[in-house]
Amino acid sequence: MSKNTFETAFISATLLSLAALVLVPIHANYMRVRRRADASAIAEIATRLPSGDLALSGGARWLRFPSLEEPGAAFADGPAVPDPDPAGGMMAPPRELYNERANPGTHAVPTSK
Amino acid sequence: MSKSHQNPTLLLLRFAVSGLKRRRAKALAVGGGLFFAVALLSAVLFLSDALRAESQRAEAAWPHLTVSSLKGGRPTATSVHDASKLRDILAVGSVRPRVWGYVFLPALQGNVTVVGVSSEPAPPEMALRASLGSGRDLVLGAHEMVTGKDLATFLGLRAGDELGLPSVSPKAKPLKLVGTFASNVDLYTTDVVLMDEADARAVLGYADDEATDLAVTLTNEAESAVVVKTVTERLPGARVIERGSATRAYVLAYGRRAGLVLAACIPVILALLMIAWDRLSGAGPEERREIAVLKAVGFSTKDVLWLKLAESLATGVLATALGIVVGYVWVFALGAPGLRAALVGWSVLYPDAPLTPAVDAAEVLGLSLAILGPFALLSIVPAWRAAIVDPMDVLRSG
Repeated sequence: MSKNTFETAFISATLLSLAALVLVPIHANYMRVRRRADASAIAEIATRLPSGDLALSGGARWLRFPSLEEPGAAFADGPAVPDPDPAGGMMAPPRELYNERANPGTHAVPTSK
Repeated sequence: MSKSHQNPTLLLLRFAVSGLKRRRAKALAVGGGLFFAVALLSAVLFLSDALRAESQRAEAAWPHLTVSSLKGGRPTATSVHDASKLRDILAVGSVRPRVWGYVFLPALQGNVTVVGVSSEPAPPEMALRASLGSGRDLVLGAHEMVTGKDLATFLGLRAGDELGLPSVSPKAKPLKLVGTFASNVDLYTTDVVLMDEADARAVLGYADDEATDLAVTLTNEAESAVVVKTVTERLPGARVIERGSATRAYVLAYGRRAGLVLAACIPVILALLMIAWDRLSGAGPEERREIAVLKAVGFSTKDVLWLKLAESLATGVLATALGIVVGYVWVFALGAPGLRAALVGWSVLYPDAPLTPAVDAAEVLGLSLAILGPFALLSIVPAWRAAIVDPMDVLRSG
């Protein structure tokens, strides 16, 4: 690679990265504005649910509504104290294996990203 | 010579970039290490911020207080009659017994959340509209249900199908699916089965005078602490959770998890610190010789320091910008593979909904400067130490 080619490539990569960096908060803001349109739907359903907890760990009942359950959950002695496995664990169990066992022969279950 | 070549700043930058080319292995090692560390750090921060923001989106709809009963230190059914003991407390607006709980579905190998809808406070404006993806809201008393979209898919249910949830009570009737929740509320409803309170009571095995807990709304939230004290006096043994502590649970939980993930990444961060230490401890023989030559041809110590700073900034800016962008794409475009389960948790039924970024310009700028500042300053020290040595001594010894 000649000196000029290296310089051009390096400067181009830097400028492109900086442009992409500027786009990060712009894109994030655009996504937030889009999400704001869902506010009425979220408020509507949240009034019917026990709390506004996210359904991220529904498999374990004490983690489905951490704000309500955790104070009485196994291994937990107060709000927001460290929760047991699985949430917060460094290694997730093989979800696909659970899914296959639950629904043999199909893969219709939505899997985590 | 063109005009741009006469500009001292451009000359300095060009010279810095050509210096990186001469020491490309070192630049690659330093820049690569910085890039990986920044990508990991920013991905963890972006993900935990997004989760916190998402958990606060429904905050306004939470009851001010949630009162549940304890027996032997564990949550147990609450008597609906307890509600009347609380209604006359000053600053209490309403007390609503709620029936909800979990049912283990063997076909799912996991729990679904059963939520009962009370017939009492159900004004027409409270009917589900925006949160429904298909079908309609429940007709109370008609043994109907509305479920999360993924749950219906998993169970192979379509509108009009009936499902009998496992229950110990013979009163539990099969429920007809009349609607599914929209994907924009998937993060809240993916495992939810919404039904009439009477059906929920039958499925969960609650007696007619039992409820899971009491949702208390206050006319003045500032009175919360006083009301909590009165509630615990009137209902000894009751557990009262304030809205503030419930939302704080999320802030702390995700903050702690982000800390744990970052702690587990200490080896990567240590590797970066070792590279930084290598830079701090001194320039290599070739670099010292180069500095000596520059000084011999007329560069001042200040010029050499500017040059080394420019070299360091060129590597740092590229690695930091690329690292933050890759961290962002990793979390919000790719769904944070390898990171989401560690930070968020997992379940058989898992919402596919993407997270909404909470990052703003101030965070990006702060993150960039926090990384780039120390990194650039680290490069000054060895350059300064090499630049203050007599160039002839260096050239003779080399």
